[in-house]
This record gives sequence, structure tokens and C-alpha cells, in this order.
Amino acid sequence: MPNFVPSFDPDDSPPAGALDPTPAHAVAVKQWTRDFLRLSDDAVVTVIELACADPRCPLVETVIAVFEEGRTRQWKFTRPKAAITKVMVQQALTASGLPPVLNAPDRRSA
Amino acid sequence: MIPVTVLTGFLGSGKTTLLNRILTEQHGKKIAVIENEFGEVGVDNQLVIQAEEELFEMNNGCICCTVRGDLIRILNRLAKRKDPLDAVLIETTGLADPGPVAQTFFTDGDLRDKFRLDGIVTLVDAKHLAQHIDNAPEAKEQIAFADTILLNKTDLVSPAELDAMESRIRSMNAVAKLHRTRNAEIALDRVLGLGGFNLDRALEVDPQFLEPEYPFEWGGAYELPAGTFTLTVNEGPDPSMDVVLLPVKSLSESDLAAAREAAVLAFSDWETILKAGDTLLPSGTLQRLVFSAFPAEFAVRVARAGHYALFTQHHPEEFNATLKASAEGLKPAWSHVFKPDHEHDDEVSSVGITTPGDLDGKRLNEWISELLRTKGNDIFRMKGVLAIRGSNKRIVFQGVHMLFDAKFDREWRPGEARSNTLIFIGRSLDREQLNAGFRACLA
Repeated sequence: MPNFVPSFDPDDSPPAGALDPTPAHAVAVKQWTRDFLRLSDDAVVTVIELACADPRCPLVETVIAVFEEGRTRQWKFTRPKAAITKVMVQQALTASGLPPVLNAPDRRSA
Repeated sequence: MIPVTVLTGFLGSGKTTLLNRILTEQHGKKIAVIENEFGEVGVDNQLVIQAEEELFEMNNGCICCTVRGDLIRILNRLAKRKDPLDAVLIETTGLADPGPVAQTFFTDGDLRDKFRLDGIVTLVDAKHLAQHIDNAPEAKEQIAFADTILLNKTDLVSPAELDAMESRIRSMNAVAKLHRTRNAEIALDRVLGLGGFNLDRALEVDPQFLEPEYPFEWGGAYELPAGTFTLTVNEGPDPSMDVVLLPVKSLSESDLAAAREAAVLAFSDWETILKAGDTLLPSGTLQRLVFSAFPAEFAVRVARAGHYALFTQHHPEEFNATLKASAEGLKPAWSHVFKPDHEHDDEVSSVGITTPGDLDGKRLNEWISELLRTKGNDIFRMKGVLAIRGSNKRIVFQGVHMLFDAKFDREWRPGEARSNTLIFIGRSLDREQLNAGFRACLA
């Protein structure tokens, strides 16, 4: 779970909600997901970090969810959102039986 | 950003009537309505979208990690419209838990860049409220989540019943704005533009909610000539009621405050028992009115003309109690409903904490994390303003279950006391534990 008190110097930094302390990284994770799955613009990708109260759940978990017309898919990572790498996203999507999309363009660097 | 209003309420509470009213009123706004599949709204020139409530569990069926997948898709489509919208209204099914709808707006930055959850409006059927509350947990949740509650169909019940219902609603959600309506008639600005989830308005609550608690629920000051009056009490929730009657110099704020403090002291003292027919004197001491039959009548005798303040353990309306001169009821020149210091019966309640001083940021993080981990399911909403040691800015926050949004906002003003206020609305909240946990975070 993100810290309740935003972890930046309030006098120097722009406000950042505890909701998403690393928004830039979330944007990257979404883009990797879009690229690997070749999603259309109509698909919605959400990335959320959870610390669920359910004892069956890990302490911290990041869920990537893809909402398309007619279906919703999700992938879970037992680590904070900031620790999710491009390779992890690729491996997770591949392991779920989806065809890997090789050489997916990294639109961030384009 | 497009404001989103969520309408909740049981079947028959008046949601559709309110929706039609909003859509047909000449307000010049382009509003999209996302209604549940059984809705009957259909208005020309407005966008009405049928939605099938699709709960999407992020995690093992835990409600605190559940969002509405259909809403995510629909809102994404709406965001791409060339003809921009002024507002979105989401109507939920009667039995819906508002949590997943609200959480949908706490999940992801993209959605929050385009839409802001403005408020949750809950319609309550005045005639069937008690039945709904007692038989369906969703009714309590809809009340608990609300920023605004419309107590609708008020023409179908008596004023006394309405007061009792309002009191019960208040005991569950002490911070929502409450309006009594007939046929869901209400000005549009009372249900739209609420800013209920606006961090900057996190503490726009009824000041009484943050008031200290008192051993009495009501106080009233009467201007009485010398003479004998009658206090008539009808059947109420208890077989007795403690009261204090005392003279008060004037109706000035300071004299009334002095009377209130004297009454607080008297309420902690031994009581004198009065039975029907006995005389209540303005002694400033605690007197217990004991009822064996109804209506129970007590004589009230004052020797000199002047102002007299009566403080009662329960609200007089709970007993339909009136002070009369001959047959005519007397109206108090001043009255105030105090926050009682007892728990109510409903398992859903509101807890407000207000404490001066600075908080240790690390301890606060640890406490909140643990609290939401263990009690997130039961905390429906929380909000507040906090002072963190080492920061000259206030922290404001809003949350739904275990998801929250917090940010530093304006600086504390010169001369402004640094203080902390938190509000929790939830199920089985342990007031003392919350208070103790929070106070342990003080620097």
C-alpha cells in the first residue's frame, strides 16, 4: 500500500496523491501491456497496487486489468507497482497463454 | 474533468423520479445517465446508457478490491466523445453496495484525469426505511456511503416518525447532508456539484458531528411567567428520562453556555425520582422522570418570571413531550440538539476524531496501513485534515474502504491552530480503539 503521507518534500514537489505515488511508472506499465497485447484504443488498462485485508492475499500486490468489450483479463504481481519491470509484464502475459508479441515498440522512447 | 454523481436507493425510493426530474429540467446541461438494466429512464436529447452491473474482483472476492468493470468501459467511451458532457449520473440497482462504484474512481489515474466522483446521493423511502434497514445490509451501506441523503415520500409518514428516522440515519452517517423531500422534489444544486469527494472540501460537515459529546440530547430555554406549567410525556424508547431544569440569566451565548456546563455537572450527580403528578422544580439538580402510564404529566413550578433552561436525556420528540401552559404548548425561545454520548443500536456508525497538535508521519503511515489492512472492509468512507510534524502544509485525505487519496494542500495560516480531524463511517467501528490508535500517532 502506498504511504499515507505523500513521501515528498511538500515545499519543493508538486502534490502527488497517495493514490498513485508513481504515476509515470504506471503509465509505462500500461503501455507495455498495450504493446504486448496489441490492444485497441477502446481497451482500458488499469494498474493498481493493493494491500488486501484478506489473509489469503499477499502483503502487497499489483494488479494489471484489461477491460475490453465482452471480456476482462487480469494479471497479478506479488510486488509493489514501482517494482514491476517490462520483462515481468512480458513474462506474465506470455505465461497466460497469449502469443508473445516480439519487438513490441516502446512508445515511451519513440 | 466531468463530475460524476452516483444515485443509490432501494426499489421504490424515488431514484427514477429524481432521474427524470434532473433530465427533464431546463438546466441546459448535457448529462449522460448510466442506468441499471431495469431502469425506465428515456429522455430526448440526453444520453442514456444501459449498464449491466459487472463487478470485477481485483482480489479473491474481497469487496474492498472490487470495482465496476462496465463503468470503466462506458466512462472510457464517454471520455472520447466529441460533444463534451457536463455531468454523468450513475444509477445503481436498488440492492447495490455503493462501494465498488466509488472504488472505480479510486483505482486508476487515467479515469481520474477525465472524471471526478462528485458525490453519492442516496434516496430513502420514508415509509419503508425501518424495514429496509433491518432486513438488508445494503440499505445501511447506501446510507453510510452517502454525501447527501434524500428522505423521500415524507408525506406518507408522521412528523414524529420522520424525526425518529432522521435521528436513526444521523446515527449511522453523521456527516451527510439530509433533505426531506416529497416526490423527490429537490433543487438540482442539492444533488449535483456536491464536492463530496473533493479533498479541499473534506471537512465540510455538520459542526455538531465534531462537537464534544454531552450526557443530554436536547436543551431548550423557555421564557416563563411565575406559575405552574405541565410537562406531558408520551410513550418513548425508555421507561424514564433524566432532566435538569435551571434558571438562566438571559439567552446570551455565554449565559446559555454556563447553563449547559451546570447541567453537565448535574447529570453526573445523584438523581431525584419523580413520578407522574410530582412537581419538577428549577433546582439545577438531576431529576429522573419515571413513567408508569401514558401520558405522564408532571407539574413544573417556577416562583419568578424569567428564562429557564431544560436539558433532557433524550430528545423530547422521542417521547412526544411538551411543556404546556394550560392547554397550549410552549415553544422554547432557544433550543439545541446535543451530540449524545451513547452508542446507537445500528452497527453502522460515524466516528469523528479531532485533536490539536502534530502527528508523526511514520507512525501515522503505519497506523493507517494496519487499520486499512485489518478493518478496510468495514470502513466505508473516511476523510480528514491532518497536521504532520515537519510540514507547514495540511494533509487532506479521502478514502473508500482501503483505497484512499491524500495530498498536501494549503499552508497552515499564521495564528491558525495546527490540529487534526478525521471522520470514519463504517460497520462495527470501535470508537475508543480508533481514538487510541490515532492519539498514539501524535508527535
